[in-house]
Amino acid sequence: MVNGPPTPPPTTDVEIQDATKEAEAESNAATASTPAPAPAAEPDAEPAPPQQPAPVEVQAATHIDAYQQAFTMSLASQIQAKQWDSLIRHAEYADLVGYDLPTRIFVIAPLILAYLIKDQVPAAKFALNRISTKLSRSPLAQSLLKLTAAVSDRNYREIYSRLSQVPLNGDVNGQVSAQFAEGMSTLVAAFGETFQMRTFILLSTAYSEISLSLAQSYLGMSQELLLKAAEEYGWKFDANNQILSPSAAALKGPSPEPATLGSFDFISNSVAQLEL
Amino acid sequence: MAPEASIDNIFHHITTSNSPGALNHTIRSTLPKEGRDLILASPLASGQDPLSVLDPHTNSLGYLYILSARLHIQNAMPSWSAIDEFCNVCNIEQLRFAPERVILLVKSIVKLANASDPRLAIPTLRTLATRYPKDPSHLTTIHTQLLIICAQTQSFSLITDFLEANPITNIAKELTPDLHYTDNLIYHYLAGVSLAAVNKWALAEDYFEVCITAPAAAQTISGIQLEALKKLKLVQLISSGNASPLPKYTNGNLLKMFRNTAYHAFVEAYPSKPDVLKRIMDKEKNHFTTEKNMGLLNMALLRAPRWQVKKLTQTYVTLSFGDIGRQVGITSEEEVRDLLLSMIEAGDIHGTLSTTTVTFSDPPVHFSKEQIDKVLRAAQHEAMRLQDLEWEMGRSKEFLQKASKNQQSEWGSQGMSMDEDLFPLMADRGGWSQDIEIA
Repeated sequence: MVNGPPTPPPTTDVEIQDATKEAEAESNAATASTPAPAPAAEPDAEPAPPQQPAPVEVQAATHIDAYQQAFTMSLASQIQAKQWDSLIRHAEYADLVGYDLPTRIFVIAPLILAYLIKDQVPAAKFALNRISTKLSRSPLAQSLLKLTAAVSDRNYREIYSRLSQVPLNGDVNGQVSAQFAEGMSTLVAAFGETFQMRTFILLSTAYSEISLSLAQSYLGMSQELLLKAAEEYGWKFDANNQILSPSAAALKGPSPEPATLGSFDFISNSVAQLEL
Repeated sequence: MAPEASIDNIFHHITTSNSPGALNHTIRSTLPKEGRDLILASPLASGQDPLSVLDPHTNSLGYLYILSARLHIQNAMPSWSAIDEFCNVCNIEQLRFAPERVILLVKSIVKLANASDPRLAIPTLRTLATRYPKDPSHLTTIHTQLLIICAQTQSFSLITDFLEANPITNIAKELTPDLHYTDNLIYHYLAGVSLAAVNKWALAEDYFEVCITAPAAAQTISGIQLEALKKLKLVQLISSGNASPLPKYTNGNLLKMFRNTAYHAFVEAYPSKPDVLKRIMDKEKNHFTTEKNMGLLNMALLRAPRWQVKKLTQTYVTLSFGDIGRQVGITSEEEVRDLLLSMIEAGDIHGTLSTTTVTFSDPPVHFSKEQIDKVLRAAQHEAMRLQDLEWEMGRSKEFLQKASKNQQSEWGSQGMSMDEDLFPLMADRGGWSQDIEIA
């Protein structure tokens, strides 16, 4: 029986650094006494969690370890299909065994970018905290760390430049690296587009007037592209003063759908509840 | 013929028994307590592995006995996938006949995971915590173990949806006899910590509040409750800028204890006295660090100007960035602009920015059909849950005894109106007299 509250998770930088060091020491000890990581589960259309990683096998013939296998067997197809929730679920389960292998970045990097696409920044931070100091020193992990920090602070000026600096390879040679680079390219592009669109919608609702240069820094776009997008969404542009007047009118969703049997069922249930 | 207390004999009973209750009794009475697990973990006389012959769904109870024995004495250890598959496909009704073996299985799973990576146990424990209770509202010790591992390994995203979907309203003491009062406190405290970590502030507050207001014998206070109260107050400062009052049924002694802490001084000075806040942080830094609350305190301090800006919306309609900066102590107009944009994005304020000013407005009153449907569904769901709880409480022996006692004592003066006051919903359902007889 536990008699007191367990230690809460670290939240400050110092706490996180301490925890990372401890985790690294534990991970090294565990790696020394345990076999290689488990293969990931098959993709699953159901919302239920993927299956527990099975014991550990490395495919000797092809020299693909479990993290690479997880990427090729499930994550790559989910990236291609842009199924971010499914990607997050499978990557989280594939990362259950936190072995200190360089190829772990094949699971962690897509996971972090998927979290950023879904704007779940705290979850991305905790996924980054889990990796060992050694792995976190890799160029890809470092760039993701900086990108996540910029997104967390909504440091718009930094986000786009840091995004462009994310290396697409996992610093690991092998037959999976080309496929990984392709997947990373899709993820980076998807995050850029999603973040730009989210910011565009925010500016449309939050600003009545904004200077062209400021809008450019928020959206990381060239002047030409921004003016084209602004025109498309009904923003006005005062060329003399270089001021844009955003409009949220074009962002309104489609008109309500006509009533369905489901709506009728819902209403009848509501009335039935009132009768009780 | 094999001796009675042998794995072959037990295997025979497992494969031929139609009654899980009888099988449970047979295993317990046939095998001596001492050495029971040793026998259960051994192979059949033919050399076959009994687990390879038994069907985890059809022979769930027998499978549970053998699996938990093997994990417990660490003999012929099954793979994680075999354990996980069993937890996923077993006939859970059968497992409820042997709660002490389920407890043993859970403890062994945690031990096995701790030997390599504790995170490995999370999916398996989550499956058991979902399937084993009669409904998701029941707390078991599996829940507590699950939350402890999630908090220790910072695996909050693996548990967030579980916590969102399964609020606890009952305890399942009969399913996990080792359930202790502190399990409830630890579960709700850690649920609050987990949700706060992923910025689900409102739900985190709910869980902390359940922990804080948990009733206890002799009005005793647990240290966990005081820790939960400290975190609740900080979470409230972060999410809304002020600390809300606690329910009336909160233990008064707990509030007195909180008032003697540095956290209370911090709450009192928040958000309008940044100098005082910083002084408290500096003075109590070691104390706050030891209690692992510096992260929340830093976040609260960082967000203090946000709530000062929000107060301005009660007085002003339009303000320049410079004026706002002077009021809240920010020198850069760019920072003020970014703060306002962030607040609009988070829905903390409503308004529109121009190149140098902000014009505050009331919250928009238009909602989509989907939003209204969602709120209505949630309200209906809560109403049904409350009805069920009231119905269940009305059927409980303790409640009926008390009601009957009250009724007898007030019979002469108040007549028959008592049951109408006590059971307004049940009176309409028409099942009242039948339940009285059963009770």
